[in-house]
Amino acid sequence: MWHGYFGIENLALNATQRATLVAELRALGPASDPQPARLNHWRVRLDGEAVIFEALFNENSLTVDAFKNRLASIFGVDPGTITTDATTHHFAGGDTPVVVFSRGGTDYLRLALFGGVSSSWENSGDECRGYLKLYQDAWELAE
Amino acid sequence: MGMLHGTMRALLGGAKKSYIDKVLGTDPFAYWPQNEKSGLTAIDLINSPAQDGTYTGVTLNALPGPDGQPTPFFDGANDFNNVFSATLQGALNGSEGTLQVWSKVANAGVWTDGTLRRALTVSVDANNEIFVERSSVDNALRYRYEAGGVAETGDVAFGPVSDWFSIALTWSIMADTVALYLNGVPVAVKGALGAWAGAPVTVLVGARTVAPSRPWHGNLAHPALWTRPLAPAEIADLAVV
Repeated sequence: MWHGYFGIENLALNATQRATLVAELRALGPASDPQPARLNHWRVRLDGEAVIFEALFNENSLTVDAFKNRLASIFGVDPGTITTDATTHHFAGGDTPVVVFSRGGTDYLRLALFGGVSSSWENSGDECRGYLKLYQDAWELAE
Repeated sequence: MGMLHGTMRALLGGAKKSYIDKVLGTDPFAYWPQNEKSGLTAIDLINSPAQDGTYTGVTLNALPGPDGQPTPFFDGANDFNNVFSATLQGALNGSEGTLQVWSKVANAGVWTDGTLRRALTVSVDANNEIFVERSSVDNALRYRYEAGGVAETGDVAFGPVSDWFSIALTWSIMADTVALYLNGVPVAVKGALGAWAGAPVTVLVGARTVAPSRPWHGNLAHPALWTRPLAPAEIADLAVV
């Protein structure tokens, strides 16, 4: 299990596809926990096209294959038709894997696992906060 | 009945909670010690469950507060305590009142990272709102009392502070005064207030909105609200645990 933060950014999903994916991701994590921090909760970007989730996750639910399978189910296609491009970003000195999921030459989804699923909650949080700081114009209301 | 209930709750909690009793002695209309160790509910000692808050994402019992009671950690990403309720809305007085919250930032970098961090929000709309927050200006806190579109606001140099500090803001249309207190000392006083209009729809500890926007990064304890401006001597006393 991994307590950390991950984010998704919609690149080309339609409204129905996006809603289906978000609903599935909101269901991840424990059904109950004495700590609010470990229950799935999220923050939505001002334009509604990106979400950051935090919870105590089963790492198996956050693998590249897991997201491929989700997108394949949403599209009604073979997961093998979905390709990925992985890079590593550093928002606060840590390593955040970022994966873009594509099909037929179109990028559909960007996934960021803040700090990576081997990171501590603190380090994942640092990466997430660093990301939010970097893109605060998109995530925060103006002063 | 609410006062008796609150006092009984404090006494039944076990060991003497002297700071909680002190706050209760000033007759707030809402007071959430935020000393829970588990669960989603932030108990309001004045009127529970009608004015209880709901935690989102905080880490409970993360750090001893200024009085040694457990306090929650707000992660500066997506945590807050939503204390809005219809009962609170009906009780809150935008023309006369006080807010107080004990605050502690997560680390020294919070004071200079240029990110707005909201400690407490009471809001009707953009023209009628009250808040205190970590300013985007280095080592400063920002307060705002806006009524009818007339804003009394400012950034006050404070920090970097690594320990707990008390923030209190009083407002009074009758006295035509808004005053910010830090650790019990008045640091900003303004007048020429506007006329408050409307009932609050947002009352949050640790954020500006439930998105959340401007989430606090650090710990917050003992948020409380009054329907009168507390006297300076009362504020000074509440700044001592």
